[in-house]
Amino acid sequence: MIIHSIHQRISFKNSLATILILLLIALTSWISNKYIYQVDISNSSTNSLTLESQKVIKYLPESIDITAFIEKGQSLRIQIIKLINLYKIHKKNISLNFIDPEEYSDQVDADNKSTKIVFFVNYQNHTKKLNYLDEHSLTQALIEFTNANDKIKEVTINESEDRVLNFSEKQIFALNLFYLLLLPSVFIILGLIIRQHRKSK
Amino acid sequence: MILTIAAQEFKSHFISPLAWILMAVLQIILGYLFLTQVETFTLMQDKLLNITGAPGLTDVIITPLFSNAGVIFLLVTPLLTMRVICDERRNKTLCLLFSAPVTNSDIILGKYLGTLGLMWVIVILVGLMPFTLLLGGDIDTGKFFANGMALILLVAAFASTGILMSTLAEHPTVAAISTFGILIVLWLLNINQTMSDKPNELIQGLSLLYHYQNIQTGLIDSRDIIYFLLYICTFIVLSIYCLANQRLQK
Repeated sequence: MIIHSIHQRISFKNSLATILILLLIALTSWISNKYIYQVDISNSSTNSLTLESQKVIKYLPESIDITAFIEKGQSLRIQIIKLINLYKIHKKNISLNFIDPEEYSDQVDADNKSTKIVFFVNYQNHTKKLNYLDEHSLTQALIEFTNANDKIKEVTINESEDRVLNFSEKQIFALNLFYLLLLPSVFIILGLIIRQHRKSK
Repeated sequence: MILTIAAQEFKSHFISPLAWILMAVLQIILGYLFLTQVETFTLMQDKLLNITGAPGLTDVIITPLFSNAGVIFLLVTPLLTMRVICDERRNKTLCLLFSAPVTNSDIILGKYLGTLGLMWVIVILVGLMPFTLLLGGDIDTGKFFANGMALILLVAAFASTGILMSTLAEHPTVAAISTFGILIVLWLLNINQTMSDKPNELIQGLSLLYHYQNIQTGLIDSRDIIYFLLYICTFIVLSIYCLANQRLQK
């Protein structure tokens, strides 16, 4: 009876401690979503805005609205969201709206659009139409809204630096030999030696 | 005491042929996938050079290699973790551990670190492959380290799930199937959100694949790192709790 009551007390303590730790984990999770820290460790900073783009948006204090005519379910929408999110890190008042061209065909026709995908960038009372949206084209469009034409002439986007691989056929053959034959064979032989060693014991 | 149990667990993997055969099989699979990507890149690099913002060597070869490794680990982890606690219970050696001056957390953390040691050895093998690319070109070391970190965290999360299931299940097969079930659900949770421009934040936040891919881009976000750390903590805490309950019932 005494042992049973002790067990009950320990079990209660364990449950309480576990619940408290799980609550602490939930709290940490909530806090981690409130305070976000990001760092781009890629060598060519392909996940960050270029310094030129950062400079341009500093000249545009008012809100920027981007309307994208892209069909629903297209992966391009995700890419555009990711791109605009990069701008949002440096400028909070930038909005993005998607419109499915199929659903708003009248609106699209009114804009005399030949392709289904089109983007409209609005700043104050000015609108710029783009057929393609990437950091280069968007920042170039934003430059036109600023009085910074004389300060920022050209935008060069961050490019991957690792774009060349010079492997000869011999080198590729050697890699095949090493990764597919030599290294696995070494592991198998070691496994067999250990098995033999254990059997002899 | 944790390190003693961990070292014992780690050694037990390597004194059986299982770990070596597993490493050989994984080396063949991942080596083949790596070399396929190398071939793909060499064939299309001339075209990529003329495209602005085209992916580089790291995006075409290293990131897919680590993505494939993540899927392979999803399949392998249940096999590696199913016996960890389950076998001790089946062989009646868990009672010996309970009678020793070790706490429940010592047992769970020791077993966890021992198994994780073997998995990290395989991660090192995967991580060494991209270095051969330096013979013919440059790699984005930042993205490479991001990929490595992502795989280390992913594997640690997988192992923690496996340990919990091994603590709960009576039979190793049940532990393996349930581990695989949980991991595949958490892996694929985000699959129908990827094409949506307004994804469900809760589902996205719970998905292992979403956080894994985020780190792989080289953009290190505190939310992704904290997600993996909290995931590991949750499963380890639950494992310790389950083992403590089992100890009291003995």
